[in-house]
Amino acid sequence: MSAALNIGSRALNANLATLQVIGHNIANANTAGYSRQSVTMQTSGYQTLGGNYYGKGVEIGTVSRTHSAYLTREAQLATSVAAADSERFSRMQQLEGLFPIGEGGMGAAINNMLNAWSDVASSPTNLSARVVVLARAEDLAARLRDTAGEIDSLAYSGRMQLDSSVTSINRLAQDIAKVNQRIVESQGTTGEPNDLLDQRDALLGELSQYVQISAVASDDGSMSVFVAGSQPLVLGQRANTLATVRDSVDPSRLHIGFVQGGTTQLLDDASVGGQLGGLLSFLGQDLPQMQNLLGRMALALNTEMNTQHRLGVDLKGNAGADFFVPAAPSAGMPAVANTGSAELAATVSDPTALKASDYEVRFDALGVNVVRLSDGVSTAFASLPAELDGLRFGVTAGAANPGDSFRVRPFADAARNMQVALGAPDRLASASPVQVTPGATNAGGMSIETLYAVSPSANLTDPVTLTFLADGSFTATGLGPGNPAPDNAGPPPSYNYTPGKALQFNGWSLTLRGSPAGGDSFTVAAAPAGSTPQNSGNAKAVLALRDLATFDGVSLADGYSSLLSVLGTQVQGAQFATGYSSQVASSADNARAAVSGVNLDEEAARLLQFQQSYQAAAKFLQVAQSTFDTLLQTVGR
Amino acid sequence: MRVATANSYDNTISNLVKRQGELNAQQERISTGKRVQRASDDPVSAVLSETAQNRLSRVTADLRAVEASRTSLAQAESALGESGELIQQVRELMIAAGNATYGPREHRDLATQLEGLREQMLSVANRKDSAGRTLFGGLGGSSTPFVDVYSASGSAVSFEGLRGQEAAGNNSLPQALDGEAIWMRIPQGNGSFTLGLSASNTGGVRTDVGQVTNPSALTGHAYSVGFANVGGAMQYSVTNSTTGVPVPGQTDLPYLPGKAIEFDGMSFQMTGNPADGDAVNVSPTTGPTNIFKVVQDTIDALRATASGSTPLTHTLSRTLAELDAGHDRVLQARSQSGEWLNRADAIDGLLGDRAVDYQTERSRLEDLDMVQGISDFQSQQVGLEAALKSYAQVQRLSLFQYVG
Repeated sequence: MSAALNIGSRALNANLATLQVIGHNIANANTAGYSRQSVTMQTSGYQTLGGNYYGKGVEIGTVSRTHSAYLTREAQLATSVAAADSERFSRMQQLEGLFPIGEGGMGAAINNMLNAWSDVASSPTNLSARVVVLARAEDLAARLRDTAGEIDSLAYSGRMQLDSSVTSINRLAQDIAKVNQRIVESQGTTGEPNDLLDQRDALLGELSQYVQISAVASDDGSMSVFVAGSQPLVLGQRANTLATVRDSVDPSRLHIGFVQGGTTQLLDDASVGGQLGGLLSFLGQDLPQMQNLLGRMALALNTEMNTQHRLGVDLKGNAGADFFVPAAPSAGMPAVANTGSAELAATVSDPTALKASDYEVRFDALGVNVVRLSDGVSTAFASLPAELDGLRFGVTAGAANPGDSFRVRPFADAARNMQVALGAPDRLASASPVQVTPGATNAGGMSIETLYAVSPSANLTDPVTLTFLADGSFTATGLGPGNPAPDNAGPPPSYNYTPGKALQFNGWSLTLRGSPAGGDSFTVAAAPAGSTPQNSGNAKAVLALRDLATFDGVSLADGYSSLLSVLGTQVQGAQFATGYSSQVASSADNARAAVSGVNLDEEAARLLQFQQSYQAAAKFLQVAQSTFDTLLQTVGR
Repeated sequence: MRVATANSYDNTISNLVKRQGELNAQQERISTGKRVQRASDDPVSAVLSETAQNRLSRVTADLRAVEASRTSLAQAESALGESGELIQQVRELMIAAGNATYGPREHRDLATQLEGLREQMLSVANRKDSAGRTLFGGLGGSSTPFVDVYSASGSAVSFEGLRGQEAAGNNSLPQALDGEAIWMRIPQGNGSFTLGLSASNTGGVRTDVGQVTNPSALTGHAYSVGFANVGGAMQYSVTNSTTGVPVPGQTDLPYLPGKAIEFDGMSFQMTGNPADGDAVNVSPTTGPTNIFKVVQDTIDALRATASGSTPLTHTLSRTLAELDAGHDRVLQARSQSGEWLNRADAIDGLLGDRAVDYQTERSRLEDLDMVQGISDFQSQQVGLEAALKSYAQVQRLSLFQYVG
């Protein structure tokens, strides 16, 4: 009889416990990282009575969480990748905001400045046209400085975030170590500490956002966490820390170091992953690349404008000065391990050959290797100074030992230091230092399109006479050294003439139109003092710079669009990557949630199920009791 | 498949947020009318559109330069018109000077008037455009290209500009004309030789300007036609003064006023009555003269006549011929500048069309097709509405609704 009562009370207990677990599930339906729990029931064994086996009812087996370690790990990994991509993408978007397109863009500013010279060419005596050129140049320089400044502040805020991310990672590592400890302590009981395990999984998920981890469970129930492949961030109940470390060569760069027992080991940027990895790749690659592209644009513009401007003559008849403040030589940053005393610097030798990259100069026993860091191509030289990619690398002081190396960032400061050097509009060198005089007896219908200086030759103002022969070619007398050889051997040796094509000798460029008659001559000589106000040759030379192939073959005027094409495709690439990886992360999370998440309808059904079981058990107890009562009444009578 | 309630809510919410974000982005595109707002929206379009914009701003600059050239050319053209009128006035005065009834007073008066006209012609030639650039300075040079230099031998104009004509480029035009070619290169006499009267002449012989009849027979030598009174009849003989040899067939011929004489490819008429021992000198031209010198020569001749010297008619016939040649040059330059002005209109139209092309290209590359954009917007709106409605419906579907 008491057996029946026992069965009833056991059933009541078991069903109540199950209802409790269902209530816990319902209560935690919206708790992040919660895994639904379920109760396994089992029979309570049997007793033999008269050769028959009688069941003793039901009892609770275990309360376990529904959880797939594989899916959880998958979700953590996908989260890391998605966090890295999304961090990089959002930073790239900020960077892209600094490079607007259209009328408000820097391309328009460059073209406005160059096109303003057209008005000076039209009326070289018009001071207001000159003022417009200076104002536009000022605007362009300010725009370049401003953009460089904004890039700097992006880098600064990135470094700040790096610091705070590292702090968060260290806190999470501590928490995981503590949870590990509590889980280890709870070992030995029948059930599992489900909620502690969930808490640890949630912490691991949060940590995966910041950095890519691999988690390995050990027998005592603790979970060890490794970063960057094999560095034990959490080992059982002990946590190590990460730290930000300044680059030994370039202090503006940050790396992540792993600190264990007082020693710091540098982690490879590419192996970090997560938000931290996204940030590192933005700070280490995307940002410097844009900085270099912008700097190259500024440096090429600066050098080309200055070279051409110095070849001109201003309104007062003085030789042209620098248009922009010339860029200072870019000093090489020595490696910490250098043993020599050398100081290194790079200057621009050919603004049309520049590549947007940083360089590393390595000295060895055989000579010097200059490595372009953007693609890793190394060029060997016997000694410095040496020219590569339009840059001239030279030792400015001391001497280098084999094994020494320097990092050179020629474009890092170019945009930041862009300044207009000219102050007064009459200093604008719009006149050419040479002039052309047609022969007095010229019979052909030839006219002169342009004449201006293109390179600082020592023979620039030497008188040169071009005399056309009957066959349309011409001879040149008075040429200095270093001019091209005549096209026709002659005699007399002569050059071919194409109408509208520039003839370049002695550092000047002359463009003639029309067809020559035999005996026509043109004399190029120094322009006399006092003729400069009516001359706009150099302004036309500046206008010709617009079409000078400068940025890997792209003209100076279109330089900004080549920058935009790099930026645009990279941002788009980052956008695609983040779209893809967030999709992967969300489906991994869906898969995890499909197993571990609480479905309220399911719980409602189970609630009803166990409510009914409870009611049935109660009914059984009532029946058992009434049976007992009936017996007692019968006996008591 | 099992659906975790919280997860399904999260997914629905994130989908709603995404759809709202898309709708918002589409709305931004419609309100700005731009499909490409950042380089990453469509890198290729953005770069091409950037290039089109650069071309557009260059076309705008070119248009401004052509406009400046056109203004200068129009001013030069009207200056040339003025110069032509002044030449006409000079011509009338020269014709008037030939009037036989005029005495010294009238001649002096004419000389003064001519001096005034010459000053005006000089100031027209030195005219500048509104920005201070000389209209007739050629390739540059001094800001006053025509300078009147006074010296002991009278005043003479020299060209201080830079000789040579700036070329018209593909879509640019010159801003200044070569004044040297217009006013400073007038052929002397008939361009091949000049006829002068010997200073010691006492008779009244004079000549026309002569002409070249056979260019291949020209020698480029100087000749002298000498007159001799042989028995009451005037005879002339031609001597090649360069070689000192008498010209064959031109010795001791009877002089007939008004009859053309011809030798070595040249022909000219002599009129009037020469005296014995008078001579007419034929000299090859040495170089071009200029319009100011022509007028100055006339003035000098008028003043000389006023003070009693004779060969006014002879000088007038030469200066008139030279003046006409000068007038031709001015007319030529004027038609040239007129042609350039026409071309300015053509270039204007061409560049204007090109600007429209670039604008169209930019618009095609980065503007939103409104029909497409609004239709996309509509379908996105419908999508969002459907998502919201189904969310509202689904969240009511709970077993708890039916329990209890």
